[in-house]
Parts: sequence; C-alpha cells; structure tokens
Amino acid sequence: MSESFLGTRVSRRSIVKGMGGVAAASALGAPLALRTRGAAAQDKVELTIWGNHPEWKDPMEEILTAFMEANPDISIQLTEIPGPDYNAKLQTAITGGQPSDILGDLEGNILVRVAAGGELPFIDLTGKVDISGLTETARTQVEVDGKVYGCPLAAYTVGLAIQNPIFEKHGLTPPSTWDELLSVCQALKDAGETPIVLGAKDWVHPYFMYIGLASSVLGPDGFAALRRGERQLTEPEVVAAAQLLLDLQPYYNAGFEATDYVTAKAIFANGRGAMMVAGTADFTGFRQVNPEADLSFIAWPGPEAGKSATTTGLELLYTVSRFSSPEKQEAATKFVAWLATKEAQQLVSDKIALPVHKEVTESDDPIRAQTVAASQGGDVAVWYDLPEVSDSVTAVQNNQGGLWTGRLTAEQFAQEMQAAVKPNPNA
Amino acid sequence: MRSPGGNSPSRAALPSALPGDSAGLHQPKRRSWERRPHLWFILPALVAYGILFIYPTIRSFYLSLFDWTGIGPIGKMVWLANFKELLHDERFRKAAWNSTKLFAVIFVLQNTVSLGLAMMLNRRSPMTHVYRAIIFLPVVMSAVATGIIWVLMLDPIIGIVNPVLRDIGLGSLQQEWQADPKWAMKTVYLVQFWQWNGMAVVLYLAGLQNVPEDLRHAALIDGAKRWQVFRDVTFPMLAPAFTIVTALSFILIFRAFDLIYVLGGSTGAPDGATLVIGVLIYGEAFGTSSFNAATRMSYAMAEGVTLFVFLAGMSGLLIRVLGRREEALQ
Repeated sequence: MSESFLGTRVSRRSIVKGMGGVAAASALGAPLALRTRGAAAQDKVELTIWGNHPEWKDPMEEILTAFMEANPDISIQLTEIPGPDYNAKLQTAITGGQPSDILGDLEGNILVRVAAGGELPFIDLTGKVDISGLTETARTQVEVDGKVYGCPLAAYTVGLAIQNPIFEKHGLTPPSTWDELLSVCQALKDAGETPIVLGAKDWVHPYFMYIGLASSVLGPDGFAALRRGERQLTEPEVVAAAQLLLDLQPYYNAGFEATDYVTAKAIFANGRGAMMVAGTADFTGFRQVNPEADLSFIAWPGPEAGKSATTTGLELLYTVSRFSSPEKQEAATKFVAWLATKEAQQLVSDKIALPVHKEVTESDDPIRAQTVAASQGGDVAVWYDLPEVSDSVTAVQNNQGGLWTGRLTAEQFAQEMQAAVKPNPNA
Repeated sequence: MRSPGGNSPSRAALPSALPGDSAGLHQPKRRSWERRPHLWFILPALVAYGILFIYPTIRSFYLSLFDWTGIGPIGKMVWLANFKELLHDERFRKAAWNSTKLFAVIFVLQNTVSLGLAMMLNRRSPMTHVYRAIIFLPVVMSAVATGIIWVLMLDPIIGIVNPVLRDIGLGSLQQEWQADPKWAMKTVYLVQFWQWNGMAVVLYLAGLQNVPEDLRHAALIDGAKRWQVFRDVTFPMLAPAFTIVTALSFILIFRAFDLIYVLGGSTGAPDGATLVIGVLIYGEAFGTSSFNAATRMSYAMAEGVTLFVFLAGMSGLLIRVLGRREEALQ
C-alpha cells in the first residue's frame, strides 16, 4: 500500500524506515541530552519552595535572587499557592512524599506535628540554623524541646488599614476608641462612603476583628489570664467586643457576608471603602491592586483611650523536607540558615512584611514603620497560634455567620467562643 | 470431574496430562487465558482502578475508625465513634439537607426546563446546532471558572446583575444574592442548574430522537391532543433517558463540590446556608483556610464513607426502580 502525500509517494516500508530512524536518533540523542543535563545539575542544586501569598511573588523572587547571588551553586524555583488552598496542597504533598524541598509549614504546625509524634516531614536543623537572633515569638514556633526545625519567613501585625484620601476628604481622623469608631463610621456613611470593608465569606476578617477587639479589652495581661482560665470571654466587658461587631453591621460593605477575602481587598484598595481589617502582609497586595493607593495603618481602637491593641502572627515556617535528597537537604538548610540572618530579614522587612530578627528595626516601607509603632500599645499573639485558644478559629468559622443572621446574640456568640478555650494554668 | 467439553475425555485420560508431562499439566491454565483474551485488554485498566479507587476506598473505610487529624501517626482506634458523632452533628445534617434540597430542585428543573428545551431542539431548524452548542457550553466549562464568573456577576458592589436589573426598570428585584441567606442557596440552584442543564438536554435529545415519528403521527391522526401525545407516547419512550438523567444528577449533586465551594466558600456562607456535603468533607479533611490548620481527617473519612454508602445504596435503588418502570412502560 502506498499513498500520495504532498505529491510524494510514501510506501509503508518508507514509513517504517522513517520511524526506525527517529527511534535510532532518539536512542543516540537521549544519553547525550541526559549527560548534558547531568553536567548542568552538577553545577547547580535545584530546589523548590512554595509560598501562600500569590501577591508576594515578585518580592519573594527578589529575596530568593539575593540568596542565589550569594550562593551561585543553588537555584530555587518559587511556586505561590493561594492561601485557602495551601494547607490542602501541603498535606497532600506530604502524604505523597513530594512537598517542596524548602517546606513551608503553617504557623503553629511545627508544634502540632512534634506533639503528634511519629516521623516528621522536616529534618532536625539543630546546630545548623542559628535562631538566637530571632524574636521570642518566632523562636517558640520553630524550636521544640531544644531542637530547631526552621525559621519563619516573616511576621505580621493585624489592625485596621485606612484609606487616607477618604478620611481627608471628609475631614475625619482615624478612630482610637470604640465610640470614635462608631461616630466616624456614621459620618462616613452619611457622606455616602462605605465605612468598613469586611470579607466575611471565609470568616477571616470577622475573626481578626473579634480577636483584635477582644484583645483591646483584655490587654496582654488579660489575654494571658484568659489562657490560664482566670478570665472568661463571657465577661460583660468582653461580650461588648462581640456586640460591637454587631453594632457595626450597618457600616460594612453591601453583601459582606458573602464577600471573600481577596475581593474585599480589591474593593478597599480601589478606594471603595474607608477602613478594612488588615495585616502587615496585606499592604503588598493592596499596592498590587492599586499602586496609587494612599494608605496607613492603625491599631484596633480600644473601649477607652489608651487601650488600643494589635495581634501579631507569623508567616510560613520554612523547614527542610525529609523527602529531599541529602544534596538538596544540604542546600535547603543553607537557605533556612540564611533566612534567619539579619541580612535576609532586612530584605523581608523592606519588601514583604515584618522581620522576625530582633536587630532589624527599620524598613524602607512607611506602613511597616507605622505597624511597629501601632504594636507598641498592647500587642498579643494571634489567638490561633496558641494551643489554649487555637480552637477559637473553628468556633468563629462555625458561628460568626449566626451574628449576622440573628441566630446568635453577642452573649451566645461569646459563649461559643469561651467553649473553645482550653485553659492551661501554666500558660 | 467433567471437562468443560461435556462428552470429551477427562483430563486424566488426555495423553498430554500423563504424569511427568509438565507441559500437559499447565495446558488448562493457558487455555483459560486463551479462551478469555479480553482479560489481557482490561487488565491494565483493572490494575489502575484497583490502585486508584478500590484501595483508597477500602483504606478510607479503615481510617474512618480512628481518631486521626491527618497530621502525624494515626491515632487510636475509636471504632464507630466518628459515625455516631455524625448522627448528632448539626453541620452534617444541615449539609445533607442542603444537598437533598439541591437535588430536588435540579431534578424538577431537569425534567421540566431541560426536557422542554430538548423538545424544542428536536425540531429541525437551521439554528438547531448553534442552540445545542450554546446550551451544552456550560457543561464543558471549568466549574471553578464558572463559579468565579457568577460570583463576580452577582456581587452587589462590582457585579453586573443588580445594575442591569436597575437599568431595565426592575430595581426592586435587586438583592444581595449571595449574602442574603434567603437567596444564597437559590443562587446555588440557579448556577448549578445552568451548568448541568446541557447534559440533561443532550440526554433527553438523544432519547427523543429514538422516539419513532410514526407513533406520534399515528396518535395525532387518531385524535390525540399534543399534550396527550407527549404524556402517553413520547414521555414513556423517554424512560431510559429519564433513568440516566435522574441517576446521574443524583450522584453529581450529592458529591458536588467545586462550583459550590467557589460560590459559598469553605463554610457555606452565609451562616452555612450554602454548605453541602462535599464542601463540609473538604473543610474537615484539609481545614478551611491557611489560618485554620485544625483538621479531622478520620472524621472527614467517616463522612465520606457515609456518603459513599448512601450514594451506592440510593443509586442502586433508583436504577432498579426506574429500570422496572422502563420495563413496565415498554
């Protein structure tokens, strides 16, 4: 059988010959290609790293480039995964034995994994990573029972972001007490503005708002007492924080119950709202949406003057995957050790969020300077980082919607929250 | 023992099966594979199915008997405690009820709107192919992309649905579609139906094309009205398509996840109004955001196993009942 193809007679024999030729060429070429690739691999160790802030891709690349320039034998490939999907992807990858070489675990998770026992997905870096320069909060998240497992990328402080042009336009000043917050919201609403942008769909904003407002009532000492079981979230002055969430309901954006975190950020960054729950990390995202955004940061207003508060947490805790080859583990360890240095944390401070190194106190970014100033008032750890109050996340997630639909009163909501507290007298 | 050949000599009587003749002893095995060559063809798929479906399913049953978060070594065995807890879990009941309502609504819409569209498309017209393509398009679209588009369209601040309603004089119909608990699940019904309508239309269309025109014409000539022709001739002939549409939509709706996750988020916003079983299981297994690493993998598996047993049982029952209906109608 033969067919005409573009005017040429093609026989079955010639097709078979051609295929044989291609196969032979592949057989000859493959080892050559492999050898070339092998030579390249000998030059550089290629590592992978995952992040959970797609909006940080560019600044993260800059930080990684700085490391790679100092370590030309190492190449790092960054993949950013949306925050809500990150844990599912990480857990699946760990179960399958294929997480990134530089394994970014969620804050609190190193403690959870070590407490759970069994084989850890990351290796022991004791003696290889110097964490003596890290802040106390950072160290307690990566050092367990005297063993060091990694270094946090950065820290973040949560408070309120302010759209300066809107406040200036209406001659208002950012609030520092709850009464001022309510009156500013009313003035903004009367002027046709959306006073507060809230993304309650994935409960993240209401949660931060609740723990921020409750922390402003409790203060650092009261929060410590709550963890020890000496104070309760059902005390009337703390219930007032939940009531404030309800009282502010007329001032949230339309459809806030179904607005997700990302959409809320876009609405605020584009100047369609005057205030929004925000952490240090969010400002990079705001600027990505609107590079012209003129913003500032304030602490949570307190029930009375001088009682403002902020909550502070940690970004991904970078460790070294136990599933990687020894060569890659060695290179990844170099990166984690570098991340804990003053030099690396200065880059983090200039480009992404708050540093976790005690000696890095300055930043090119004015928002981060404002954040540091705001956190001087009364800063507590984000509640989900601490075992006594970490279940508050699930309690809010399952119940905050009830506040908006009338299913729960502020008192009932506070009871649900208190039920999630597991007091520890030694905390 | 008789050989398969009935009257053929027994194995012991065959010369090739004499003691010491190893080739003869192995002959029946070779014959068995030779008699069933199709086994070789299905073997790769069978192995893949076993590894990717059968083993994980059995393993899920096993792990659902433990107290395990998904992190670290598997915890202690709690036997059926997870299943007992399920029975009293308010969120599970709410999710199951929402999934049931969703199926009921989709079932009604597929057997009214989709069937009506299929009948319209069954008429010969130059534009029929275009209409079919338009109606089927949502089925081939990514559920996540579809969900994001609907979320953006329905948003009260940046969406287009409310402004369009306002501009055409229907401003009073503007709603916070996804934020109002009264409307949130209705929005899910609409979007879910919009996506799967094409599938039902195509299945009914295929069924309609198998209904002989002669029968319908004969009924009309005998004086039957159009409605009577549909009720007594066309619809009974659509019984196989009805069975497939119902069973498929039952399975698809009860395990629906992606589109509803995009619309209602990880907690079924607002206040669990759009929480369905698929979303609930995902949240329990993997946490609901990067701020909540609290997971209950074994509990999620117990939910999954319960769903599996329910779907398998109900699907079997549906197919049996509808199959009998088909036989009765034919």
